[in-house]
Amino acid sequence: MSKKKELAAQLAAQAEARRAAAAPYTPNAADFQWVGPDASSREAIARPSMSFFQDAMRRLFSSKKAIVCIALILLIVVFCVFYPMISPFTEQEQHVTHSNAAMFSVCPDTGKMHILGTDTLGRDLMTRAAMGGRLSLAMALTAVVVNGVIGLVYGGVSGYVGGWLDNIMMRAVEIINGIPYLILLIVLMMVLDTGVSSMILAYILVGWTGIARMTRGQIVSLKEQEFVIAAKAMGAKPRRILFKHLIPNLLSVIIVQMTMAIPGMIFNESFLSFIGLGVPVPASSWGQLANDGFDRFRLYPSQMMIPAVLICVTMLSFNLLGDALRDAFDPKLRR
Amino acid sequence: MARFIGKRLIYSVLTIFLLLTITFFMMHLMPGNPFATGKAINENVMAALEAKYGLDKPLWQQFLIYVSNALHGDFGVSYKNGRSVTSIIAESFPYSAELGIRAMIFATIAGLLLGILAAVKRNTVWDSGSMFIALLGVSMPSFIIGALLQYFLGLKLPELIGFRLFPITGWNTEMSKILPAFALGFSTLSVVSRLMRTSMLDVLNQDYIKTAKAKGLSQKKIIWKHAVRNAIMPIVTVLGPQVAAILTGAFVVENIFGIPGMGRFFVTSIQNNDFTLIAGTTLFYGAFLVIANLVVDVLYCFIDPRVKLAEKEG
Repeated sequence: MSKKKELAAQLAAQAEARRAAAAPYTPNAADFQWVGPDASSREAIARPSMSFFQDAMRRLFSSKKAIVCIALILLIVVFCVFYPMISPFTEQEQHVTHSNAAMFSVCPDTGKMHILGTDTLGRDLMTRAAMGGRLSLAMALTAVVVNGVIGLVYGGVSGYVGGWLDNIMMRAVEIINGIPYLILLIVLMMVLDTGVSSMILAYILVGWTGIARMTRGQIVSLKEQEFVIAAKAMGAKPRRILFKHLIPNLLSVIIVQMTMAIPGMIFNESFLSFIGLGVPVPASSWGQLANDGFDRFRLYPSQMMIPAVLICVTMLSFNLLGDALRDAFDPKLRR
Repeated sequence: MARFIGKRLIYSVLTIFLLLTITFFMMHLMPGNPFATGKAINENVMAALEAKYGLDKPLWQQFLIYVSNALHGDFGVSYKNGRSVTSIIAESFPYSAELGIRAMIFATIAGLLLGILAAVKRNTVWDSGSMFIALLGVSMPSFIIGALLQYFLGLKLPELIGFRLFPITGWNTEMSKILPAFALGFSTLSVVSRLMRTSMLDVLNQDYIKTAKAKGLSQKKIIWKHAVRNAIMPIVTVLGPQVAAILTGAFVVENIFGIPGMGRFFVTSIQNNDFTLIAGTTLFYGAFLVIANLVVDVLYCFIDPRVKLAEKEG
């Protein structure tokens, strides 16, 4: 009997063990250990996060053409700004015994070298070219920046407010635009006193319409975009929409336009100088130098070639830089 | 379309009127006296001179007289040489017009060809070559191009080949007209070729070009019959502003090459403070360009059927 009971208990224990082994396992976090790749590293963002402008700049600096242009522009600017400081000659200094000198000739008065030679009055051409560059570039930059601001405000108001105000403002621009730019510039230059400031004023009075039209067109099309409507639906104030959504989107177009306007301004200056409406005589600008050089071009070609090369290289660099900037800012090319 | 043309017409009239007002007040704001020749002038003589030219009347009356005269084609008498401005314009404008037309024809044809070449042979040496030429054109003011051409082709080439191919200045033989037209048209050439390239690339990506290719048309047919004809449309729109560029460019080119055109009169009148001549020529130039723009706009309306369509829908 007892032997029978013992056997039964044994069998029961065996069955219990079998049942326990077959029962489904309930998972327990403590039993597990992560052996795969690190979760945070898997989801880590490899590229640095960058804003639109950083991205555009990265693309700009990855183009060889743009780097060459920027380098050329910097070189010319550094030459114009610093050369007059280290030059042994001043802009107006005349060495009459040493006029129309060739390049790399030594001045008998001072024993110093005229690297680019001298003009008819014996003035050092290299110093004059640098001083002329200061004036030409400063005038172009000032005019373009002021034009940009005026155009941005005018076009922005016209496009943003819309309605009858837009109608009137744009009709005014259209009528001003109907008059050829250079003719208006010439007429203004005749009325204003000669001088650098009135030249800049004349550029500004006629030059803002292009950027105003462009800004207005951009604002009108941006206003209808989904992200602006979404911002409006979420209750963004007009101020926020203007500064957060409209202006940043506009800026790239305006920057490209302004870069492209600089060669135009340099051209205008040299054109006006060439027909005798340039900066007043003792001062030098690139256009003035080219004009002076042209009179003696057949005998001393270098006197015209130096300012001509400076004008062309600067205009070329700004044009190419404008192209590169446009490509860099184009969101369609963004990768 | 009639509405569009009417609207453009009203703008043109307003622009010309604005130009009239500007030139009139410019003449009165101008520093210096046109009769001041350096010699002392008797007060009575001065009064007589002012009466003769109508300068003693009130300003608004002068303005009305000026406007009505200008509308009759009378721009007054040159203060400096006593000839009527109209006769000076009539005498010198044909030279400018011929130079301008030559430059325009050269620039448009050469520009179109360069643009087509660049687009068809995209990303090859041909493309970068023609675009480099175009870039030179936008980066070199016409007076620099003119002076360089004059120096190298007019002055240095004869020394090299032994005879003179291109005269340095003047406007009498066919050969003497080549260099000025080239110098004047170069910037327009670049604008046209750059625009034509973009426009051609745009058209070449269209579906109908693919269809034409799939039909088995030759490359030549596709380019000349299908692509160029459609791509040429936007070029017409820049021709108006380019007329302005060529006319103003003529000021310096005529001076460089010694062509007796209007541009030269304009520049000398600026140097002489000859107000009536300046105002008359400015007005003439302005009105001419406004009308040229109007013609181009209307023309565009006729050649591009899509403009008409948009008008109907809108």
